[in-house]
Order: sequence, then C-alpha cells, then structure tokens
Amino acid sequence: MSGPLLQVRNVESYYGPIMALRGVSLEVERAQIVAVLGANGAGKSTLLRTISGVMDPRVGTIAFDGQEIAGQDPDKVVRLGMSLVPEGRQVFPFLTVAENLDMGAFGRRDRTGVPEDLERVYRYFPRLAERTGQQAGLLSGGEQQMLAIGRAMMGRPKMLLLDEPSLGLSPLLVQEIFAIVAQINGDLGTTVLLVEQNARAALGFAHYGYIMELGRIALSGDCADLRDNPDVQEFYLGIKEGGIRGKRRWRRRKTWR
Amino acid sequence: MLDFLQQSLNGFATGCIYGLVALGFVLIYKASEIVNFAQGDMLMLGAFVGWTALDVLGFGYWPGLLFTILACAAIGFLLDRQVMRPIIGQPQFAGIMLTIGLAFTIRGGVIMIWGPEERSFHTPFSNKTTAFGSLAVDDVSLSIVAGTLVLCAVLFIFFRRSRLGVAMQAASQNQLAAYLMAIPVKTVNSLVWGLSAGVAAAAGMLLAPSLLVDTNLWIVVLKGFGAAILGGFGSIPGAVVGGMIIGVSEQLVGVYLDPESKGIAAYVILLAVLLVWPQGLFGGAERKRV
Repeated sequence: MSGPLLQVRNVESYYGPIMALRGVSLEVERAQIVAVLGANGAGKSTLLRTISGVMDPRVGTIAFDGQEIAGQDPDKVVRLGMSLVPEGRQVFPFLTVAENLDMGAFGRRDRTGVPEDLERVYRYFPRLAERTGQQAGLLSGGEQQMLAIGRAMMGRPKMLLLDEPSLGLSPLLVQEIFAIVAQINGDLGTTVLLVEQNARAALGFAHYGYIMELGRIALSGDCADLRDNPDVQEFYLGIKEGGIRGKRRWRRRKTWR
Repeated sequence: MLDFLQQSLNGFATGCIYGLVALGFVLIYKASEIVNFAQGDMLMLGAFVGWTALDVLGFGYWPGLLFTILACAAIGFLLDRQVMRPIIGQPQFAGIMLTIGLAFTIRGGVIMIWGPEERSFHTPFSNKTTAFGSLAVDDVSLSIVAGTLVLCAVLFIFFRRSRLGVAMQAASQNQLAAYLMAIPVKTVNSLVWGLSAGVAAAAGMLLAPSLLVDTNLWIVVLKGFGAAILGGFGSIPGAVVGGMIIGVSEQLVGVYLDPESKGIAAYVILLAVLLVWPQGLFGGAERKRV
C-alpha cells in the first residue's frame, strides 16, 4: 500500500469540557522518524493517546495503513501494528523483565517469530539481557525505558509511538536510547512517531518535525530546516542571537502567529 | 494433647474454606479493585449446583465436581460481563454496592429455583474416618484440606507459568500498559470473575458435606472477608493463611474458652492483628500509587 502510514485529519480531543487538541492534522511517511515538539500542555501526549486509542477524538479521522482507527480500543489498534510506549514507562512492576517482554508479544498470532524478536531486543538492549529474572520495578529509570521500548518491539509493530522517552533520564542515557531507536528504524524500517520536550535531542535524529502549541500544529518541516529556523532556535533550542546587551529584546514575538 | 490436635485439625479444615472465600475476594480485588460481597453466595450457589449435578443429573462425584466448577465459573464470567461491566467508570463504591445487590439476587434466585429446604449429598468421603496413630480424622475434613492445597497449587502454577495467568497479573498491575500490550483487559477481568466463582464453587462442594446444602451457607463470607483483611487484602498466600489462622483460633476458643464466644473470636483476632500490623500479615509490599 502506498501513501503515508499514518494520516491524522483535523482531530479534536477533550478532557471533559477542556479542549486539548484543537484540530490537529499530521502525516507520517513509512520508515520515517517524525518528532512532535512542544512545551508542557501543548497537547503532545494527548495526541499520542488519541492516535493509539487510549482516548477517543470527538471530531476528526485517523487512518493507519489505510484503515480508520479513530475511536477503536487500544488493544485492537495494537493488533494492527502500532505500539505506544507510554509516558513514564509503565512497566509491570512485579513481573520479571522476561515476563514483561513476553506480555509485549501477547497479541501476536505468529508465535514462531517471538524467540527471534526476543533475541533482537536483547541485542539492542544488552542491559536487559543481564536482568531477565529481575522484577521490572527494581530496574533503574533508563533500564525501565529500555524495557518499555523493548516490550513494544515484541509486537513487531509497523509503527512505534514514543511518548517522552527522555523523561527523567541523564543526557548520556537519552543519547543512548535515541541512538538505539534510530538503529531500530534503520535496521527494520520501523516508522517512529516521537513526542518530546527535549527539542535538541529530538531534532538531532528525527527526519521530520511538527511543533505544537496550545493544541494546534504551529509549524512543521524537515528537521534540518527546523533547526535553522530562528524562532525554533530562540524558543526551543535556547540559542541567543547577538550579544548579551545587543539588539535582542527581553522577549521577541514569535513570527508564526 | 490429642484432643488439642484433633480440634486444631477440625478448625484447620474450616479455615481452609475461609481461605478459599478470601482467595476469591483477593482475586477480584486485585483485578478490578472491587470487593465482591457476593462471594459467599457464589459458594452457596456452588453447593446447590453440586447437589443438582449429583442427585438430580446423576453425575458421579468427580465429574459432578468438575461440572459444578465449570458451570459456576461460566456464571461468574457472565455476571462480570453483563452486570459489572456496564458500571465501569463509576465510583468504586457503586461497584461494591452492586455486588451486595448481586448477593441478594443470587440468594433469592436459589430459593426460587431450589426452595428453601436443606438437603445433603453423598460424597466418597462421607461418614468415613482415617486414623493417624491414635488420631481419628473424618475424611470430609481431609478432603477440604487436600482440595484447598490442590487448588492453591493449580492457581500458583497457572499464575506463574501460563501466559493468561501472567496477563492477569499484568492487567492488575498496570491496566493502561496491559491495554497497550493488546491484552483484552475487559475479557481478562471477566475471566478473573470466572476463576473466582470457580474457586467459590469448589469451596461450596467441599464444605457442603460437613454442613448441609442450605441457603445459609453464604454466611462464611463474613469470616472469609476477615481472613482476606487479616492476610493483607491483595495477597493470595495471605488470604489462605489468614483463613487458616481464623479457622483454627475460632475452633480452639470455642472448645477451651467459651463456646459462646466462638463467634467473635475471629474478629477479636482480626482486630488484634490489625492493631500490630495495620497492613495485614502479608500486605504492605505493594502500595497503591496515587
């Protein structure tokens, strides 16, 4: 099938009376890494929750691989080949690492491929291989993030949704995890949609980026272009223009509004 | 001394039943954070279904036992699917009230279908005793103890080894993540209800020969609830051990102290333990994250 793998059109989601997504549209091409950036409360996580079926949109359509998935239960969406790695990792704390990974393959019909995928996860994340029998709740934050990604990989998804994988991790670990995600994308052609506050890290390795503000897409473009955009530099990358007391004003207006 | 052992053993057998009821509580509580007060009535229903299987349908004891467990498990599954599921998302309190309503409904239904009179059924263990040295133990008590141990072993292996068992644990530990793993959480919850009802039915079949098949069997739910709290409400081994402690102490108090106070012994012990360990004997390892 041709066309983009994921096509989100004019989606609106609410928390009770509060509108969190105000008509978001985006596309994710096959085998790309796409980053959605934005500040706290911009609606990034809501977007991922809506796409994966944890929340239902009130308006709008979501097409995954040509199939309409808006309003479906998350377990159905996962079976179609889209795995969400939720914010805050959400491993099963009292199950072992091996059991957590096995649960990742729960919805799979082809049981024969499971050992192969397990081996691959352990190759990507050797630290998990050292801790197969340990309770997941006792792992460090970085290891839990690796486990969460590995667990999502066990479903052999066409698309991986990552919600703030850098949350609460040291910069070195963030680099390590992003490198592994890029490697997964390169080796297997797994499409990745990533939500991040850490704009510098995300723009460094994604192909295409969307910037969200207050429930809308404010800006989009190739990551290389976004990195060069003066507004993005000022507001998301913290690069200051000119000298300390040069022509820079205390707060410049964003030009995209 | 001999008398003490004898009485302890009798109490132990009753305690096993309390333990099984507590186990049913804990299973459902862990899966859906609902305290199922219909647990005792499921046990009572199990005894009636068992009587029907043995005396009306003419099953042998073992096929009858299996039939009863499966039939009640199916009833439990359907109760969750048809009755409990529509109120998902309502306050926890609503769910608990609903189980109390279910309890009365089951009790009323049993009286309507079978009538209120007591009855009994014959088992391979009835009216027999086995001698251990100079200790004579009736086989019904032995069957209760053995049945409880077998059930616990089966459940232990099921939760540890089978993919469905691990998925049940996963769904109780993190429902959102379980959904994201393509675990059908709602169906899994219904299966837990089925499992719990099956355990209750087995307990009813084990208990009925030593009492009678009677609508008042549901009263064990009060002791079973105590046992679940004693064990920490949320711990499966805790539930079984809690039941055994309550059963034995109740029996010994009734024999050696005062037959009148037998009824309150369970609760006195429960209060005493909770004063020292407010988390219950096996609780506290896992706290609810807010």
